[in-house]
Amino acid sequence: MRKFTLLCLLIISGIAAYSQQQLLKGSIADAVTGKPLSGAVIVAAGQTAQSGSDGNFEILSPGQNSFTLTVSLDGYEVKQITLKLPLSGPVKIDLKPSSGSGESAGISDISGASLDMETDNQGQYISGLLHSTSDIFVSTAGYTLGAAYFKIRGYDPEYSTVYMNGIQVNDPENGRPTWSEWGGLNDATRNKEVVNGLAPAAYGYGDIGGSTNISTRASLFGKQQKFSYSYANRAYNHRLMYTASTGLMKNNWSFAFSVSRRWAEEGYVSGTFYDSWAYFAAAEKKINNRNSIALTVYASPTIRGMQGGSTQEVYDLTGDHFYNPNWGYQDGEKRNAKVRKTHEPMIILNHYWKPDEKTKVTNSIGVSFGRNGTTALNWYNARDPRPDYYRYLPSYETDPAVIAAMTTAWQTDQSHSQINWNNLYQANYLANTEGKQANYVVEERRQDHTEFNYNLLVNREINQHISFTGGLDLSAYTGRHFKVMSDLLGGKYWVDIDQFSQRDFSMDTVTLQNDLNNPNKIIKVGDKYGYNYNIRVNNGNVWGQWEFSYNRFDFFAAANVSYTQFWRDGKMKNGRAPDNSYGESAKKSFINPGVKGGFTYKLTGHHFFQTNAAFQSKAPLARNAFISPYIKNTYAHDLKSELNISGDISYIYRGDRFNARVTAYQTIFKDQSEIMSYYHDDYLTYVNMSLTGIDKIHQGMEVGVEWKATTALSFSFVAALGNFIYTSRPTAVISTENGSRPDTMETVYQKNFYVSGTPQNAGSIGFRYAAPKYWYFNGNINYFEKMYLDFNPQRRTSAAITNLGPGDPLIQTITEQQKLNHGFTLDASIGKSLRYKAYTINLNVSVNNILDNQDLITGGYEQLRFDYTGKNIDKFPPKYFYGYGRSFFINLGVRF
Amino acid sequence: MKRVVFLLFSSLILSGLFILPGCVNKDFDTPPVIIPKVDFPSNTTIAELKAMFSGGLDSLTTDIVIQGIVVANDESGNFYKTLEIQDNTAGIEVKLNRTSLYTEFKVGQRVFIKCKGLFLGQYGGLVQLGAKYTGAIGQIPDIFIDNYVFRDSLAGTPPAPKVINIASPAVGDLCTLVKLDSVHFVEIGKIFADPSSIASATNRTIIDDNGTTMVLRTSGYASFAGAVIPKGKGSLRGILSVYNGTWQFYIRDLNDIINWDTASPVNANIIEENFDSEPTTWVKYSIASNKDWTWSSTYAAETMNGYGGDVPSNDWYISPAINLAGVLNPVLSFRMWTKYTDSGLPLPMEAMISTNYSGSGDPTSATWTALNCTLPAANSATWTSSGDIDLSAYTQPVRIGFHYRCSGVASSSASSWELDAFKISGITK
Repeated sequence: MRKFTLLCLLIISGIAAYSQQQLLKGSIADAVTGKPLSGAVIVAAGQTAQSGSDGNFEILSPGQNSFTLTVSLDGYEVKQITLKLPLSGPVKIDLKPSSGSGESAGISDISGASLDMETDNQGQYISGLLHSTSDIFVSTAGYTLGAAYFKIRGYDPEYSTVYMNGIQVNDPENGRPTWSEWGGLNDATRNKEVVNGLAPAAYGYGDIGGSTNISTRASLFGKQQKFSYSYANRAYNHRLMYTASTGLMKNNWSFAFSVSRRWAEEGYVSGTFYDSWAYFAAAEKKINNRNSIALTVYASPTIRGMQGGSTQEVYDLTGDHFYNPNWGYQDGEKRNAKVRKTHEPMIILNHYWKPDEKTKVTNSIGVSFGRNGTTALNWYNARDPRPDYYRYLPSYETDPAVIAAMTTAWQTDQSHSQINWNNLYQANYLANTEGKQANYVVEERRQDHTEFNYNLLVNREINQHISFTGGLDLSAYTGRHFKVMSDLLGGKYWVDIDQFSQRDFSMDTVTLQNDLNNPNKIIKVGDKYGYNYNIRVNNGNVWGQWEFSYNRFDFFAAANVSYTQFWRDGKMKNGRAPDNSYGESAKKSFINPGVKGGFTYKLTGHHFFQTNAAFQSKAPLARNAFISPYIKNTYAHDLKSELNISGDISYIYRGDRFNARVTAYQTIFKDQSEIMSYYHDDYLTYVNMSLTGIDKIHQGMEVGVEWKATTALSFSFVAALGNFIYTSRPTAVISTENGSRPDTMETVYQKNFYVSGTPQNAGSIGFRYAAPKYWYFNGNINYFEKMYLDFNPQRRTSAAITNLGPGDPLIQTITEQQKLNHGFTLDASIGKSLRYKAYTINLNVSVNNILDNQDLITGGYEQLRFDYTGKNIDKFPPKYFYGYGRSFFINLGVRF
Repeated sequence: MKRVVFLLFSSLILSGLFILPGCVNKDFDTPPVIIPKVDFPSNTTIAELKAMFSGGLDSLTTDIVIQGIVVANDESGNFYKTLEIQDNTAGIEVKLNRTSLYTEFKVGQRVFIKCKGLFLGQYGGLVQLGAKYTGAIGQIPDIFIDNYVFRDSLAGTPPAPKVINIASPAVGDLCTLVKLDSVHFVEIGKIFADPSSIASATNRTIIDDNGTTMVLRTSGYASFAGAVIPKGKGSLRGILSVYNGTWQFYIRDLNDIINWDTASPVNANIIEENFDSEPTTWVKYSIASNKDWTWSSTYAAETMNGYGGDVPSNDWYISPAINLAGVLNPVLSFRMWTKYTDSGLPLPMEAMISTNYSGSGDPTSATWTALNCTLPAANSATWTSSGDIDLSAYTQPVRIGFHYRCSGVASSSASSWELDAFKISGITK
């Protein structure tokens, strides 16, 4: 048995007795026209081949009893099939022309990953499910539903593992795959193996949300060049991409290169410019039949203006659900205060070795490093420069004349409704006249990193029925967190002190210092200040997996043990924690075992029953480990590993015209932890809240049905029904950043609250018409519901409802969780391929949300500020993000 | 053909990569310094404006324009949503519903105010210019400030403070920058103001060598609230204010404490005990009875009553040693209260001084001299000041003792006493 998603494609053919080692022959054809396709790249266990002009190919079978063939060709969907030896004859493989979404910008662009919430912890992260799988549920969930932040099984991104040539590229600090690091390299990263859920993968242990391995071996690219230009009205307007590859040359070298640029003066949301380059180079040398070496280098240096969420009052005032508080006019141009600038190159060296015909050993080392920063306004003893600060809104006022004047200003005056950069400069100019520090500055908050990885992967066929996969991952990571002065906005200097401490500890010359080693440091552009610390994470993981394959059933068993060690290394001696901020913290270590297994019963060649289960413990994430990482080395209270128990059961039908899968699953998360920081309205300072003991259960059903009505027309139906709820009352420790109060502990009453950040129920009905002469047309109608607003744990503590008598209706108002509206969207795409001599020209147009529904809230959060005194939940109302209205993506590509 | 396609796309790529970037990476020009300019004249002096005030809440309906120089703003937090402006006739407090006004209205900034539509009112007797809020004078709403208040040119040198006499402040100097010369503080060693969590503002006392005082009022939100009040003597610069007939002085920040000579001898409290909590350094000695001196949280005073004791009381309550060496003109004062009459004893309470009591043991083994002071009359039940008791005869450590006795333990043979507000002041360095 191999990957469960791939079972969907399992070609069960008559089984005849052949010897194991054989030259496998096959042909590639267009699924619609039936015409043979040349230039398709076929990969099987490290062997590559390319189809000739007649569509035929030959490849040496890897000598395993079952293995996966991956076939890719530009303009077509990548196809993975699992073959089981011995084969009865040549393999016929149909490729479906890729739909508009398949060739589009990818989810990371569609879903507006530029959303930037108040705190990083609250951030929406892209689902990253760039699945090129043929499972209709997974591909629809990834491409079509992902635009509304649908997450498969409601899992956070840290429960999926992504590998790049075997090197794990999840960020060790926050656990999330770093998709943006190869943004714009769509062509270069198109060779993917995707494993859904708990199924076993041939390249890593994975996680409960599945895994993806992107392979960039130069030999996997055929000999071709490709230009494409895309025009869109999403995060960017233009994309140019050029990719060239040599294929395996006579000297046994292969090379592949790609460069792209994506840009927009202003994206879909006002004030969000976009400027992203990407470069990629891969080289591979086949030393002999047993050894190959490959080198890959890539990065996606990007600068872009970020979107910020705002409150419903502001959206109503401006009449714009895409109002962006982050920008204002300067010099007649829109200047964005929150600009993200990243450049994080990755270098990977692989050695592929086949000591014998039944064994593959892959050794990989990876280095990644670079800068990742986001700018933001900061201010000292001055008014909040953000235009949608709650005191600048009509709702803060009571006098009708004032409300009317403010409403008019909001509606008519962009110097009022957006950042007024000129006022900030003028305030600084006046400060200069008195020789004082700037009142307003733009700072950059950096999260740079360096990481070294080593990976060993062994695949071995033990006998006809049993194969083994196992490996070892080692990584050493340093995340560097600091602030840099980016722009003094006409001011002369800044002083490195904490103004909240200055206010709460009047005349105390120690507490307010951000760095006692450099007290009252004068800060100029380029200087580090505020905070400066490294988070170090060392990781080791050893795993093994046995797969058993028999006539009527397959099963697998896998186990891993990982070791995680992390600590904080403070570079500043903070006045709020002089004895506990400079130098290294104590080191925390965790040893985490995991086991998983699965069983497939093949009733007939059409009916499959499958079940999988996993039990794993996971070390807490370094980013959730420290109560106040900006300040001090103190660990969160009661920090411990979390437990995940997950299981699913599926029925799969594979027919000639009809394919279906129905799955029921349940996953228990136990002892998760989280850190959030915010401005506390009662304490009048920034506080950090550390939550521990968060338990959740995710249970639900997945249905995916695909029906080929004719050779040209097919229909699909996908539905996900989920029930994701919290099952515990976590403990919150609230710690003021300026140390003005002792830490307090609260119980958060959030049991049976719904998990936010994804529609829990979603569905899509689609059709696809592939006309003759390489035309295609497809459409989807999508439905989302059971979305909940991310809630503020503070409002669910007894502190929030003190002084309220039993039965006071305010208690329910304060503690109730807000359900968001359900919604429909309609997507369609149309495309045509042309062939002229050696040139293939593709034109695709895809339109998302054709009905221009601009009222679908895709995410949001309750502000973490809470009005303890007035208990008015509307004082700091929730912030929302709306899904894009109608958007299009036009792509024109030529390859030869 | 390949070549044509290649060239076509190469040129596209090149244009994308090298020509278009200018559209995205913006280099923003920094805005020029704006020098505000007012193009209309003022037509009324601040004194004239204040003279129009009726004493209640007056709507200003004519085209009155005043101009003045900002002499105090909210930079330190001692003023809040307030500007003090003055011309050469008077000063006035302007109430504005905006924070961090100082980022626009620096000290020395000339402003013009179009008063039509604004209101004159008063708070505690201080005339203010602002807007109407729930029937009284309030702050001009933020959104309207720019319709009324106009800056003219950049901030210049603020007017020199007018030197005033602490004994004779004048109404005409209210809300102007003034200076008190040769003064010092009474509450040396305390902080200027309790934190805002305890009190919004705190009163301290400015005093001159003649003993004339004025209230120094400081907001708990002032950045210097936690600063320690310095010893010594010098000049104080600030804004003169008034609240319900009491003159108040506001410094803007610690830079308003000028020409301060911390070595200059000033009249200060050598000891001050207000019995807000029970002092630990005082000595209680009971010669007779199970009734002793006790501290009362109810009265915040030290109390003694021999009524109902086992035997008639004979109890001492003695201060810690107070070193009068180097103190010029030390003066002792306290106040006492008594109720009921001890008909068997003409002097149930005596205030005494000793130079040789050791601080423990029987006080009668030391030498005590009766103090020349005023004590409350029997059963008067009125707090009575001792009057200023001159201790200039003493130049060494002394202790003050309060000696209570009663003739019996029943009514008419025991009286009840309370002691409070004990202090010795003198001129020290």
